[in-house]
Amino acid sequence: MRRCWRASAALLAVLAPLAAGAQTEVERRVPARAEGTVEIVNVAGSLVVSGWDREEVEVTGTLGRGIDALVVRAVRGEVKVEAEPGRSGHQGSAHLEVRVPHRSRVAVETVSAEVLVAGLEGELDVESISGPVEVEGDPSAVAVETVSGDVTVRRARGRVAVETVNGRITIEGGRDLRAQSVSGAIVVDGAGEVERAEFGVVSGRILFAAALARGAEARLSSHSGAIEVAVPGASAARFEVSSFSGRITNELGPPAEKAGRFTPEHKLVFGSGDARVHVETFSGSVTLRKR
Amino acid sequence: MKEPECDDVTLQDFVDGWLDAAQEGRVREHLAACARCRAEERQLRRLLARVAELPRTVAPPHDLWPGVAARLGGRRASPPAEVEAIERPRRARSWNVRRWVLQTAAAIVFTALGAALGRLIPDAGETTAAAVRPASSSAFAAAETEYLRAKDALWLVAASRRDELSPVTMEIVRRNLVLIDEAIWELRQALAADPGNPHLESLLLAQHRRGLDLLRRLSARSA
Repeated sequence: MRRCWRASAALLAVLAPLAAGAQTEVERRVPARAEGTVEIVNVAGSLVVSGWDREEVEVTGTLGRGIDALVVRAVRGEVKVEAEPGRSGHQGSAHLEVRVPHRSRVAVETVSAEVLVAGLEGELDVESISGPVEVEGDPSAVAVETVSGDVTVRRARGRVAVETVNGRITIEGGRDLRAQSVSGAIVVDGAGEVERAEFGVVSGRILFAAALARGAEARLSSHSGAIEVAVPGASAARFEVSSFSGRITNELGPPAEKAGRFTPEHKLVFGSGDARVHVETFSGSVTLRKR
Repeated sequence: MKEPECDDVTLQDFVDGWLDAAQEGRVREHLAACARCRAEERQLRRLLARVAELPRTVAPPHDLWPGVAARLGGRRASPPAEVEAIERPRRARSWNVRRWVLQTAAAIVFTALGAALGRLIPDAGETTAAAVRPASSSAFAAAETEYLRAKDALWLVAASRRDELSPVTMEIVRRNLVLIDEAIWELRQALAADPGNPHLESLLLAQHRRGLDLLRRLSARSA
């Protein structure tokens, strides 16, 4: 995975300037606190953020036409980096690589820039509109909000919270997971044990494949999107599943039963583990299977 | 599917002045014959007037935004005041003041909503259906009314920023709001056939909350 990420970053660094037309090369370096805040604003283009062992922030890259200046300022070790659009009305873009102290708290704000983040141990907060966001490594907490950009979080160790409107959410790893989307898919393949999970969609599908820690709680909710839960077995948790008109397929235990004579609603309660898994849909199908 | 002539989104677009002449004509024709939509239109226009009365030039106190952000479910606190004063470019500062005004409008809506829902729903900060189950079925109608009021008001806040959002983004948001509205309509139909079903009520409130959350995010962004 790491090799894949580095290859993507290298490709971005090589191709992005070629695609952008008129370019201004930039290179800045300012002092930073080891656990300070680094705020990065880059509306369009690309952004690669990586952690390093120095108490400095280094910014390299190219500014395309429509970007007036790169502002890099440090006040008492807190750093702000901004690719500042000009007043020409052109949609400017910048392709930046930013190195920050690896325990920094990093906040990224963009509209359409492609964002790659790796090697951070502090908190990461990304706000985007349409650009894809990819995070690899082990920030203590990851929070990403976007409208249509796809979000991928790999090897997270702590809290992960992602919200999209129709962007696809992919999470690998993490113990405390929250994801919400309207029509985007949520795909979670936990590398470790999940302690808390909360996922909700309207029409997007949810795939939750993970091991559950003792006492874990997972809540999955959908209107019409399908939900698939893959766990080590029926002993992993106590399952409570209900769907008003969606089909429930249980490969872990007993079939679902009708909740009442005059309702299409089906319910299913089974399992012996001390974790809890709640699944609720209106018309979306539910599948429970062994991982 | 929802009947197009009673479509809430179309009505909101009508009030916002987003429709072309032909569409406007069809909506006016429908309003002449539909008391429910006329009532909704009046309510929307009243809310629009309230939003228009919000202050435009007031400077936010430095310590207000973290509390507002927390109430809205936002995550990012302002940078320290001193850093902000030194670093913020002039253009970005005026944008932020405008954003603050709009977010204040959203905060007013959410403050009212939070106070109402706090009495009705055990944990109003959650969005999954099970977590937003009302304390009792009798509280459900009151909770839904509060959601609808807040949603209407927040939509107007979001709509007031349509010039700042790209057409592509607005189209994505609109389509997804329609998805949410269709889900709400299906749930209402199911509830009409099975009144008081707690599962359906909780799913319905969860969809309302999802719509609110989307509008809240839209109100706080530009593209």
